[in-house]
Amino acid sequence: MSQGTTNDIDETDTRAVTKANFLFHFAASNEWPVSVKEGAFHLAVVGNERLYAELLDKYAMKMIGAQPLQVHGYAQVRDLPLDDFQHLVYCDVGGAALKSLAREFEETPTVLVSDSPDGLEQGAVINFVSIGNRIRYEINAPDAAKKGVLIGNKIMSWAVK
Amino acid sequence: MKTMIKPIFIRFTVALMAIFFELCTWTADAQSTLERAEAFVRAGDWDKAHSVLAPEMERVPLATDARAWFVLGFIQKEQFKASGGSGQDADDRNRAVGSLQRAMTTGGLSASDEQTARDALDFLARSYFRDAIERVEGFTLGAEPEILALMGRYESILQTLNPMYDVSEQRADLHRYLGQAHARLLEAQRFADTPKEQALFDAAVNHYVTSLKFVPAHYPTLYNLSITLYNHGVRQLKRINHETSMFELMEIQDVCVGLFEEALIPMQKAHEQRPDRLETLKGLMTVYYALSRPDESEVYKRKIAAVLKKK
Repeated sequence: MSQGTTNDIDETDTRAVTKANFLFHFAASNEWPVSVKEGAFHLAVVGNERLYAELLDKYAMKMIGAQPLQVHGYAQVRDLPLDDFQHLVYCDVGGAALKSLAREFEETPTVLVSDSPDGLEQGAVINFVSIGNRIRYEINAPDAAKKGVLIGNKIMSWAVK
Repeated sequence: MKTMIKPIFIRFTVALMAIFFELCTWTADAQSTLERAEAFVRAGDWDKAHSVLAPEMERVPLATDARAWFVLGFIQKEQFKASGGSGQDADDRNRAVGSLQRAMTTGGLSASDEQTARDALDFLARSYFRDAIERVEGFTLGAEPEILALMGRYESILQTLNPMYDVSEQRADLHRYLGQAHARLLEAQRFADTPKEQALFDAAVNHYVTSLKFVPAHYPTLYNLSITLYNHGVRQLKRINHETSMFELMEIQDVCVGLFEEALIPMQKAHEQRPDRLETLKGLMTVYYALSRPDESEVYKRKIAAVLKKK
């Protein structure tokens, strides 16, 4: 009988699993302007390959209302094609890169989601935060309203800010 | 008419002689039974030796004859070996242990018989241990009671041979093995999302915790306990999908974080023992990451890089 250790640690990206589900809820439980309720629902992930993989694996082509979810992945902010409309963009990097992206989406219904200590200050509409070892999120609801996006009650009720 | 009256002492003497003759006959019978059994033993005919001796063992004087119990125990041990039996139901083995233990507790064995009896008991004890380990290695659900019973017999023989024998280490090993066996079934996914999954997880954790009570700072047990706790949390998380409601997501997250926090403690203890061991460094990096504590996760990531650089 082996005296040593047996099972290996599961290398699943646990934070990616949780964030992917949150993003799906952000897509499904908010009310988007009528102008972007046709065709596919576009969700882009920037700088987080494992989150992108998780979304592709479990959520791609699931219906957001009447729109099939299309998931796009980009390694860096500069890779994101700004001419193509995205309903939801998750950006893993913070700071100036996040700020510049927020500026690009200022006049559009695109909801920018970040995971940065000052994500909302940099212009994100939703920002993941860590509270009590758990992933939660904060929302800048007035900014969302300016974009014509109505944050759903369910989403608002679980937000920490 | 003259009545013959025997003096009382004559009647007593006659009675005493009768008893003496009876005793001599019993002793002679007993000796002859034992001798006949031993003759079969010398010929290697265990079954005949057993059939001669066993039926007489509860009668006086064999019932209190240490050597007779020793010979019977030896015969039963050989019968067990010849049968190739295993498990709790190997009657020859159970009987052999009983006979040899009786021989030793009766007292009066010669030094060489005593040593042979001890060797035989040691052999039988190890056979119980082997059977227990075999059952752990091919572990199936429900095998645990038999494994514990086999180990119980093993320990009880060891303590017969040496009442001061400390079985803590064996118990720690056994519970660690059982923890591993349950954890392996858990990882096999066969019981995924069934009520048995939680039972397997509880059993694995309980066995590791019990093992640590016997040997508290055992590195592999600490590491395995941590992995079992952590992986069970990840298993819950992986079930999240598009049908998971926001409320369920929060609930699942609470359960997982609870498991990750529990996993952190044994992983840290294991790491304290072997600070340069990559698997615990990776474990800490991963658990801290899952707990959304990126700065601490990064510390261990850097340590991994430093260890790898040294190699």
